[in-house]
Amino acid sequence: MCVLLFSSFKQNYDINAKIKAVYIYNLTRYFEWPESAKSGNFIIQIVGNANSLIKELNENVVAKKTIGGQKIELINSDKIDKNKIPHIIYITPENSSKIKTFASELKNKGTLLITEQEGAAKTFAVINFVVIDNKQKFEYNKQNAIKYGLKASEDLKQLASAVY
Amino acid sequence: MEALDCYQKKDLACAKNKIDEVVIYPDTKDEPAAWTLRAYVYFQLFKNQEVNNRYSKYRQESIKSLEKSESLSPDPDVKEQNKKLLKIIAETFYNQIKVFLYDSLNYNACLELYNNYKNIYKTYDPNVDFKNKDIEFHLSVGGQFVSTMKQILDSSKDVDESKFKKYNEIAKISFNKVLELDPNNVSALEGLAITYYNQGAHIIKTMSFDIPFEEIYQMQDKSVQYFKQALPYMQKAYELKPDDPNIVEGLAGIYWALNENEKHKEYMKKLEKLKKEEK
Repeated sequence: MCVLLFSSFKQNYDINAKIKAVYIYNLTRYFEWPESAKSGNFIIQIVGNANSLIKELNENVVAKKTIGGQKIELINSDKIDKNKIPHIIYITPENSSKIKTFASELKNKGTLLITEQEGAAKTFAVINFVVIDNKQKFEYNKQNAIKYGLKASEDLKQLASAVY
Repeated sequence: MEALDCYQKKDLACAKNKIDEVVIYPDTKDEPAAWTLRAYVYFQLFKNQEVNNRYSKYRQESIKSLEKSESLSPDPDVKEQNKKLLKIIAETFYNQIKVFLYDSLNYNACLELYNNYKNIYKTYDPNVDFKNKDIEFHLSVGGQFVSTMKQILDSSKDVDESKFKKYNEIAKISFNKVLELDPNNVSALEGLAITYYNQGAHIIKTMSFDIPFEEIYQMQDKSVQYFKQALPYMQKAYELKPDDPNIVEGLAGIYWALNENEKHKEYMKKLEKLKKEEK
């Protein structure tokens, strides 16, 4: 009998992408978008290279879910299409330098701006992904939600690791 | 003599009938050589007809015949023949492990066969040291169960949770047994790290999109515990074998799962370097 060599630590599966995808989908339960955004597709835009996250969202959210009866559409682009204002925009850490530009472009447009950059929840983000004790959590800025034209559930404050 | 003729002509049915008569016949029933020949005949029957049967009656009869022969104070030639066959029989138990491990993942059968192998081998050589064989056996078992868990994790089919849990436990038991014998066994260290990692990854992979945040947090807590358990084993494997790409990739993967991105990048860089050097 020969010893089996398990050459097997291949990362076929991105754990962190799955958690982010679950977070993004779950957050939709805590926000209300303006009336003008309640028709057509529900657009989630990813800014930056996030293949695993996009795969998770496509397979488990776009293909299987709706949000408030709206079909979900996923866009991977670093530009805002004026005809497709996103309901949610997630800016990858590598693209954090663009947060300010997106923030001014999306003000009052009914977009939930999600970032992953230290301090972003204090400035432009509504939700900022952070890591605490090796776990993914999120910070929340309610005032920013209002600025972007969103209504947020009070429950969100208790779920966030920090509220601004 | 007739039994031996049949055996040499490979007419095993004839050999069996004749030798079974010889060993009950009053004049020959206490002949060690007769019992030894019976052992050889039954062993051939096992090989021809029941080679994958772990409860083979032919093999059992062969062993009993050898014991009987030994109990009758055989001369050195017969004794030597007995010893030779005993070693071969012991090895058949070890070889059968492959069937029950790789084909049917039957852990209990593997253990039973391995214990049979050891018990019989000890009769052949009472001073034998099984340490290396124990390591080889437990490493093979652990490796096979880890490999199966990986297939389960990679597949998109629904997972049988009880099977997944059981396989994890077997892998852990096996690798820990190896580490008891050889605390610096890199394969066992790597295997344990992968086993814990897989448990954590499985929690996240099977996480539903419809659960509330409170449950997501609980699941993350559990998975992070597993990743933290995986880390020291992979770190020790790395200390012992810093240029093994699988181990470097393993460390990078665990740090990624723990959201320690700087360390993840550090080991990914090292992995790239190692891969370049390999070319």
